[in-house]
Amino acid sequence: MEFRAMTVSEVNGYIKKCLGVDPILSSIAIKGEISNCKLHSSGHLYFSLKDSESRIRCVMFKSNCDGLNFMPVEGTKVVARGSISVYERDGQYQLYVREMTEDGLGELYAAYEQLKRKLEGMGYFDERKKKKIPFFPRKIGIVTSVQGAAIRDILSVINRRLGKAEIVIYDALVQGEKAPEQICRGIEYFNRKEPVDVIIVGRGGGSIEELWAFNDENLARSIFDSAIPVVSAVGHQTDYTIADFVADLRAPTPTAAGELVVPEMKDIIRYLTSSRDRLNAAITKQVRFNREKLGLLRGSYGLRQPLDRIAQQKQRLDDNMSRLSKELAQRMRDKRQRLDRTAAALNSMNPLGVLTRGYSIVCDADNGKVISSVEEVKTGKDIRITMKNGEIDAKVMKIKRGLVGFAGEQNQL
Amino acid sequence: MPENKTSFEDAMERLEELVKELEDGELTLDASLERFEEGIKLYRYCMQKLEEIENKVEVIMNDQNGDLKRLSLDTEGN
Repeated sequence: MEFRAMTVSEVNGYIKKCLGVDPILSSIAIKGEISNCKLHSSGHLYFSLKDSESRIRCVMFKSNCDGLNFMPVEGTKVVARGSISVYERDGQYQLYVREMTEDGLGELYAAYEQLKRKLEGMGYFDERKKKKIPFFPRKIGIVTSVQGAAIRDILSVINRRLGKAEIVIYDALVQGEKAPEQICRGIEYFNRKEPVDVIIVGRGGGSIEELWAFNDENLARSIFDSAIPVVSAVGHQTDYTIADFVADLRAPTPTAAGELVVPEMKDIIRYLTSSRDRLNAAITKQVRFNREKLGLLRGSYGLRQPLDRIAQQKQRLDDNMSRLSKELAQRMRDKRQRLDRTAAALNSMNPLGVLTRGYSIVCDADNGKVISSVEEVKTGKDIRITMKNGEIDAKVMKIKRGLVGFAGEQNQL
Repeated sequence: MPENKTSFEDAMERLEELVKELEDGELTLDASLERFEEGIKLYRYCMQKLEEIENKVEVIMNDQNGDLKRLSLDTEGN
């Protein structure tokens, strides 16, 4: 029995349906080499996957292409994942690629991702655990291959910026099986034997495989355990290795590592000089300010007032003093005058004064008493008569009582 | 007083602190002078540290027996 004849479209549609329900074809991974690769202006990628005997057409739509982490070119070995379906117009079956990775890397990537998750879980990437890179390291340790390009880049940038530096390079393989162990030993060497301020671990750029030594778990542990800050300087900008995540600082390139680790000598000196100038300026300002303040204070009324008062007191004191001395002088003069007057009075009563006028004084010769009455003597009494220029010792011859007149005396009365 | 142990970074940090304190101008004159003196000392210390940097590059190499070998590298040329 024969079915009715079908149209081409019907057949293609039917085949499409058949393929669509196949569990293997609807989710398949195919490995092969890329050929006839064309990126259409729409952004869709058309190519074939081939091996030595066969090929299969592939299409990868723009939305899926965006997730590619490599540029597919002729000959790239890849693993493409997607579904096989029919392009009905051409009756062509093809692989509709959802994602594509470079072949061989899939496992590496998986291992990488797994290790990354593990270490992250252990806190190896914890920002808080990262050590501070010294601003100005005096001695720098570098773990890398002496033959590599990295060391030349690092040395030249350090030399350029710092002018001079103390650098110890630990020569280590940076790719291949032995590389991780040697790099670890380098890090340990600096930690145990030769203290440096910072360690740079790195190598120049390369393929993912070449950088693979830096995705080693033991190396990650070494970096994490290092008491000295570690700067990773692996490859070029885009690739992140495990070492980059664990390191205290990640430099995108060896040159950048040099720049990050070592400051520009000019900058340090400029900074230091400006600090000194700022210190000077600040202290000068402070001193000037205080001096001005002092000047103002000195002229201020508050400070002048007590001085004024002292001056006034002084003046008053001076006034008083001069008045006092004037007074004193006056009094002295008064006293002096009184004294003079008294002296004159006294002088007028001086008996000697009387003698000069011709009178004489009669005294008892025995006791020296002045005899002023005839009653005080008897005839024969020894008397002494004092005159202005001498004395006469005499004897009373005769006594006459009664008033005896003297012309001189009477005139006086 | 900066001792030998004071790191360059600590000295720089302290210097910066002192400059700021002084510039704020809220210190007594005595305190200012103290800070100023300390700052100048730190400045000299840092400059001296810069002078002290040695210029040498050495390489540690593993030889066949796994022993470490040390050699100097002349960087002036290349």
